Amino acid sequence: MDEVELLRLAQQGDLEAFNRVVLEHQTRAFNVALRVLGDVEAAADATQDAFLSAYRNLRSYRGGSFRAWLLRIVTNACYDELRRRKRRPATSLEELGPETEDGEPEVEAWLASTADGPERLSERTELVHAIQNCLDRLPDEFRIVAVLADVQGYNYDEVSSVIGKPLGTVKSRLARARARLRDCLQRHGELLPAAFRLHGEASS
Amino acid sequence: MTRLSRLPPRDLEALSAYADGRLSPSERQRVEARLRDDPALRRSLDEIRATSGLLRALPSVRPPRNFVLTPEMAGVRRRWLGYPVLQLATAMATLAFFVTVGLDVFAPAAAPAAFRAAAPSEEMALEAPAAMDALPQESGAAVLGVGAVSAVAETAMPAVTATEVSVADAMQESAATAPALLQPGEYASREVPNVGGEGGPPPALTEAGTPAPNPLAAGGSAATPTCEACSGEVEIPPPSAPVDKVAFASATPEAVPVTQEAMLQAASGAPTDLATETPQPSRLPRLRWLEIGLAAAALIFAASSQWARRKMG
Repeated sequence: MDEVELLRLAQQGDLEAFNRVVLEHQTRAFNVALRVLGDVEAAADATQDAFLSAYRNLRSYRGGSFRAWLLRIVTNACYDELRRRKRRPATSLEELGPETEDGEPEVEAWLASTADGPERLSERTELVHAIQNCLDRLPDEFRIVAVLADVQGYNYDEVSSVIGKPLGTVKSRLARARARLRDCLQRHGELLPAAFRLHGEASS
Repeated sequence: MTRLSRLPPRDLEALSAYADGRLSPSERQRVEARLRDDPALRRSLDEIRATSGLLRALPSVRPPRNFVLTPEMAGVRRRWLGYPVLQLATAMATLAFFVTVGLDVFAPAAAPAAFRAAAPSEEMALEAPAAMDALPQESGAAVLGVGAVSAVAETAMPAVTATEVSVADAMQESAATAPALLQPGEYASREVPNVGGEGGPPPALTEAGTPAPNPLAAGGSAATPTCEACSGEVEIPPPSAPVDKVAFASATPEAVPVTQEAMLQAASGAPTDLATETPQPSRLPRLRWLEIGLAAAALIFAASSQWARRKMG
């Protein structure tokens, strides 16, 4: 059964059909939330909220890209969480703390599924941590565009429909996000892959 | 080392879009011309590409759990459907209840003289139209509004008490009318022992009780046929009052079975009298039971929809 049919059934209240759509999209939705929020538990909560909200508002989905429709709900759930954090700055500072050298348990869990050998695992763990750290330092609207366009690889049009902004805004935000990320990552030079590092050294 | 964020915004955007292949042909040519002449710009482009590549290389993380919705999580929608249905059922039961009350009060066939004469029933008749007036807006509100359920419940409550009261009235009325209907039979059975025990003449009857003559006169119509029958069989034609005939008949031993027969007839006379009256009283309780049932149904539906609303909350 294709997604269109499943969504049609789900719109009629078929929860099982909707859950098949959930299983199809949950990894994507969770990863967007994870990179935007930088925290596994918060990302899982936001993803769950997003799917519940999607089910309740399924009637407002009128065809088109379901992925974009769903990701818009996911990013809205992320914004809700970010707003909550801003109301509680004490925890937010800790969560977004810049230099957490000891690998968090969830970081290990992320990489448990990768096929890398143990010697590259810690290296990659640190790199992932550094990238996430730099993402976390971006303004929210820049981070969401960077996550959608670069981390997830969606084209400008799809990003535009997810965030509900014109293409020009997407272009501009993505360029600024990349520039800030590059400048941030430069400080983690020793963690960066050879090509990135060499170029940085050559340019210095 | 160049800092990308120090680049002029226009150049930065152009390079970023160029890296993604999102420039128009003319813009692309212009950027490519500048890239040929400017090594710093080429380095900036490489850095943009490397940064984008790093982000794309971030591993996809397996979610810590499935995000499928349980029926409990999604159940809100189902209960939301059940709630208006229950509200509608409440409104329908209430409407049916008041229609039944209306039938009860206004239908002439259903209202016997005794019922109409009773003062409480007039109160009911006054109350019922007021309730009927209030009904349409309530039932409409019940379908529309959330708080209307309690309103319906509130109106249903007095309605039930009203029915209970009216049922109690009806029972009192039937209790009042039943002795009246039974009076002839009672007097007959009371007189027979009196007459048979004393075996005396008419003066004994007057001794038995002062009310005796009057009820006899009242119940005369019921008593006379039986006495005509007994007089026919016993063949004693006294010119005195009918009671005398019975008294004389019970006095003679041969007449005993005849007296029994007369008593049976008198007894059967009472039921026939009752039978002519009962159809109306027996239809009334049936309506009353229907009213009670409908009011109870309205209450149950109202309570269920309240429960559904709380569950939903």
